[in-house]
Amino acid sequence: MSRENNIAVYTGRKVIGFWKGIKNFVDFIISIIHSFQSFKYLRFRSIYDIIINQTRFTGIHALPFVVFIALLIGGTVIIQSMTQFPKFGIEGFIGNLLVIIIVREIGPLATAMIVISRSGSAITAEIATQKQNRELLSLETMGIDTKLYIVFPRIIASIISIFSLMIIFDSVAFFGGYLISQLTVYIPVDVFIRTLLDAFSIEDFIATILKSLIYGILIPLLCCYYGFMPGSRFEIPIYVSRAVIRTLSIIFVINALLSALFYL
Amino acid sequence: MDDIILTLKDVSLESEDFESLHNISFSLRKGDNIVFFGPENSGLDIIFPGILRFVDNFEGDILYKGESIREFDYIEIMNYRKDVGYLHTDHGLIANMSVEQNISLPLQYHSKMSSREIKEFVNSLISDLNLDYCKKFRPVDLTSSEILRTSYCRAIALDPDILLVEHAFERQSPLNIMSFYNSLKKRILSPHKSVLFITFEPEKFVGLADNYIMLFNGRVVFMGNSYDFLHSENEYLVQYKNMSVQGPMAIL
Amino acid sequence: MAKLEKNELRVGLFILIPMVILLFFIMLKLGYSIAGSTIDIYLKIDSLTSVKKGTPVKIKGYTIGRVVELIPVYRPALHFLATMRIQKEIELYEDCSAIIQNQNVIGDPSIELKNPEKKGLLLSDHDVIEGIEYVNLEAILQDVHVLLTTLSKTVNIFKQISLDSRYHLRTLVSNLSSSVSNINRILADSQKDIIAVMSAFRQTAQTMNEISKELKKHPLKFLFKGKK
Repeated sequence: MSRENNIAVYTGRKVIGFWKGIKNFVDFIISIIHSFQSFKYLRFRSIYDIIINQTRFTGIHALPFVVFIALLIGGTVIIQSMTQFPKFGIEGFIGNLLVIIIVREIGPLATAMIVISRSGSAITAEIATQKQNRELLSLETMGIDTKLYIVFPRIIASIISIFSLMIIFDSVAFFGGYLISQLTVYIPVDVFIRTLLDAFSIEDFIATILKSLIYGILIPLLCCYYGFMPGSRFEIPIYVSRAVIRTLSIIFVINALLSALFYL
Repeated sequence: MDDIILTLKDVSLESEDFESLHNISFSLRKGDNIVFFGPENSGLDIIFPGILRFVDNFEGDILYKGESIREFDYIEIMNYRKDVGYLHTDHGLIANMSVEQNISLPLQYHSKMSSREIKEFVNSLISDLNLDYCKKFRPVDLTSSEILRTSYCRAIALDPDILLVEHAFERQSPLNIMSFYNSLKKRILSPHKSVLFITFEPEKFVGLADNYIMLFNGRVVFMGNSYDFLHSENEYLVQYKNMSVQGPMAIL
Repeated sequence: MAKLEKNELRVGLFILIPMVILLFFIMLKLGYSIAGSTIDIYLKIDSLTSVKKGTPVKIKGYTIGRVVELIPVYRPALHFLATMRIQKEIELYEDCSAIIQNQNVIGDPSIELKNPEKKGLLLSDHDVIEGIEYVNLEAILQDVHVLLTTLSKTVNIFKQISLDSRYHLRTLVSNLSSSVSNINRILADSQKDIIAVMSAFRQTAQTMNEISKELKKHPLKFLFKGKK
């Protein structure tokens, strides 16, 4: 086969594979929506522990990483802006820069990345293992809707965790970053808070809440989808890796789209 | 006629693992117990998934309490599965839940009992099956008999009319599963509960089961009661009981 | 169970603390606008020709605030509300007038607030006052004066140019007449030469006729003439 044909076959295979992937994911979402038929039979007490445990793992256990990264990013942004802005005579815009960089973009993205790499991979691995150990089968034989029982509490926990982590990230980045920046530059605290408050708009609050909602739904949904995929044990790491990479890529795209929607 | 709770009419199906069933027909009355046996790949592994409609494409019909399970919608199929207890080979205990939580799970999900009532009921089951000492253990810390007893408790937690039991006694020490055996025997002798067994050792069920069905290559090659099982000259049954390679079944 | 309760407590705090932070921030943001050092007064204006976002608001020439927002109002007829954010400590009364005027020759507008002679109730946050489009005659007169000065200067320059040019024109005309006489003289001189040239042409033509006749009579002799 000629080189051109090989390229054509490769491209065609990739396109078909991509299309099939989208179709399968849409089918998965439809099946989740379909499973909501049995929602009225679901007793909240049966998923309560899962929500608590997932929130603990996704949110509380991720706090040290979130705080650490937020401190570094906040401090860096404030130091850079305070040393560079006066050269252009725009030091009054530090609040705007913080809101734009941290609240609008880095905060949600960094939080999503931490959640995907810690909890997303764990969700995929856990479900895939449950499937291989026939735990999912035993749930189904008990008349338990696996889609609802497995996916729904993880979505709830993920929304709660991402929302809380985003707020904590932003707060730590602002105030922790402010404290760190005091080592190198001096900004009066009232000036700092005033510029920050001036720079905030209602869109920023709405965008934060909306992003936490969308990421909170998408991340567990994608990771659960990949968790249900492996047909054998040796496929588990392959799908865990896929889940992380593809969820990250999708979150980046969604973040860009949301930013365009809100701020363009 | 009203006593019949499960009927298979000329059921043919094929699983993803290429195991198949061909024209299987039988009826299960309330209180009846049936043992399915046969060599490997005879269709034993897919008969219970077929009954629970985990395989959607099948020919013939399966009736549960007179209603075709083919016609069941999303909710009805869930309720149907809830009414049928299934103790499968791999047990499928939830790895991050303790024995107590595993047994409580179907009750927490389906039952209208309060959490306190559930706890009391689960404790009584745990006590019956001698699992008190390990009720806080997770499956990874359990022995095979403890796993079996826990999954049995979970399967009967909702007190199903039909219990499907897959290879339960195999690879188990009889001494360690005495409590399981006694509880199961009580259920078998109950006139309102039915148990279907799948096993490679049908002789262990003599005196317990009412009917025996032998499968080979997905087809029924023997069907009869305990007396027939013990005395029939059916060549398949004879070959199986004698553990002989000589006979109608080509054993690899 | 105790473990779960501990986890529940942690999760509860994990949800509550960020919620409190968010609410606190929202309150701070709202409070910053409400209890701040400014109040918002709406100015009703007919058109947007002179007022825009950032237009300064003054009292006795002293800037006390700016226009921060312009909102169209469609009924009963299209008009606009300009939100003036002004310093809270400035006392303004309900009957105060707001005059929209140009603050300099370039035409940058400003809003000049003027308290009434008779002081009534104080203006409070979100009150509405009407704006008056004021034409600044002084500024216009100044502009006209500048324009007239420029015009008279231009006329003077033209006059100067015309005086300077008169002498040059005269020289130009005399030069032109001498050039014409030169051309006439050249033409007159050329007449004799033309006649001589014409007679030379005539003689040449005669010679050529003779040659052609001779050629007809003795072509060979003519050809070998001078060759031995």
